[in-house]
Amino acid sequence: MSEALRLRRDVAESLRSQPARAALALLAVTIGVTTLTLLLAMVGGLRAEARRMIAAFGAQVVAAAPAPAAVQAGGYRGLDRWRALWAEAEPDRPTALMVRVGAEAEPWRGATVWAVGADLAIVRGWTLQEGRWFDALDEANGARVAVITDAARWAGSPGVGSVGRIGDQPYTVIGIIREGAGVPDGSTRHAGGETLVLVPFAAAERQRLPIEPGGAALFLRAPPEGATETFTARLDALAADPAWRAWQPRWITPDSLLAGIRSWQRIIGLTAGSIAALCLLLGGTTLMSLMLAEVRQRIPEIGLRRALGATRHDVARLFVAESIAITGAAAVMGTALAAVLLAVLDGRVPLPLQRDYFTFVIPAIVSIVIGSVFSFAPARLAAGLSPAAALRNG
Amino acid sequence: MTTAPATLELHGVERRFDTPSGPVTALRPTDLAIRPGEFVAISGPSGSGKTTLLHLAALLDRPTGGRLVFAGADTGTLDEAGLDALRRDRIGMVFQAFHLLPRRSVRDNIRFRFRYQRVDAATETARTDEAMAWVGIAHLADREARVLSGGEMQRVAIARAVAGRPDLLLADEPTGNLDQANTRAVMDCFTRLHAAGLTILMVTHNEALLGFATRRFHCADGTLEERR
Repeated sequence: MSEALRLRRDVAESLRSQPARAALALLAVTIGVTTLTLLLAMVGGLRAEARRMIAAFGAQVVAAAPAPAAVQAGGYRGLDRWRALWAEAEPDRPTALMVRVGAEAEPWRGATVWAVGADLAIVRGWTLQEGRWFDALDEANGARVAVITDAARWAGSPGVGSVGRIGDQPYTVIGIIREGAGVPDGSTRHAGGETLVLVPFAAAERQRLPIEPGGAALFLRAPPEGATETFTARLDALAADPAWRAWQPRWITPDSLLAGIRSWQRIIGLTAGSIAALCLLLGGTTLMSLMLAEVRQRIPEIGLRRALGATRHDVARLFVAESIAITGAAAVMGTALAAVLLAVLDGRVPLPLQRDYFTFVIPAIVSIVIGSVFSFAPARLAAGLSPAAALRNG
Repeated sequence: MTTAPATLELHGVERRFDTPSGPVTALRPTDLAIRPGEFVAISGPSGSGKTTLLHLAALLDRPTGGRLVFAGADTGTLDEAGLDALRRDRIGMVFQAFHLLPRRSVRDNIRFRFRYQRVDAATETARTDEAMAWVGIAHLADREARVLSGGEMQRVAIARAVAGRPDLLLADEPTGNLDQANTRAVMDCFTRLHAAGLTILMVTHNEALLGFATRRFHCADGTLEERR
């Protein structure tokens, strides 16, 4: 029989002889593994959500959202003049407005309608999966054409060439935005990921579609190398311009978008992380105290093993193996329990949950490491026993 | 008396223990040589030092003075792994408290002798069966150790000790927990093992058992004296 099989048998025998003790340690570590898995699923989900948000917003995009009152007072023309201030400050970089309008859109159920500048697709890095984007002619003529997101197509439009209705006017679909990196997709909570119907700014203005004051933003594509000194200086100068400041704009960057998510990550990291660490620590110390009690109870057996030729290393290995067997079983049970809980919670909690390989593997590895670390003291105690004293004890 | 080299030699071996109230000498400088095939019995009251001597002979403990030679090897020159290996391969032990694994079968308890030995499965099985037959417990092979009587337990312990074919069998009060009938049965086992050529060192507080041995010693206050 190989040493591994002999050791496995010894471990099984020991665990069977102390079922309550083994079960208690198992339970403690299982709770820890489950908690840690849930924590990683939440943190991973938030991280993925952050990635999706940046992808939808555009990693190189800076935006400014004017105050609703200013939008209401300025209207389409005012907003365009405000955009021109930015365009003058950054003549080499494309800019575009994106303004939400209040209008019914048929047949796109639940869609929001946006009046957008012709350069918006360039600014935000969007590409089309079908058809084309607005061109200068559409903008100049105020053509009644629309570009929709893929989600909008699924929400009722047969595709490019089909005709829908916005307010009281017909609009022809000329393009569909491709899902994927840099473009809105259905999974993001950002406005860009929703069911959108986009129309040229001039068309919305000509039709006098009512602007929703809280839904306007001006987008600028940042330089590929990021916030260079020149770029930042120009933005700072713009921010100091009284004509710009009259709109009381709020800056929106990938960082500001992620502020909420980061706050959640911090809260979860601190609270759930502390709880998970506490559970695992509790599991580890429970395991250690139970193992220490077991060593004391098994002193005669340790003496016998030494009398039969076991080395100190053999004795230590026995207790480490027992501990790892318990934490290994706890890893399996905790992972299974967490998988069930995640399946139940998904969609029922206001947090994204990630269920990938690492979410499940890391807690299992941590559990095994805990088994090894917290068995060190009991194993050392057992290995350090004098065999003669151990046999006298029996 | 045989002139073969001694299995175990003690040359001025002593054992002192440090206690909070100062050093205590459990075994005073002792000379003893046990040759192959001898059955040596040491009697003495509790605390006389006989178990200390047995533990030294079993290489479970190291002397604080003198020289202990096992099968020609000076154990003072061996590291712990060397002592473990000698104990594993060449020494068998029987204890007053049996030290069986209660939930394992008789057969598994005897096989446990080979837990740390490098012996193939077929040899393990053959030697286990042989040892069970030798001490007359083959019919108990599949019973759990915890359901056996004291006498049966001790015979299982003896079978476990001899299954490894040791050079020296050490017995620490092997009948201390047994009634008269079981004591007799256990001593019969030792007699047969000795007749088969096994070297035995037994310590007991029961003077009546000395008659089974070929050499007898008395231990008192850590001093060993041979009785003729």
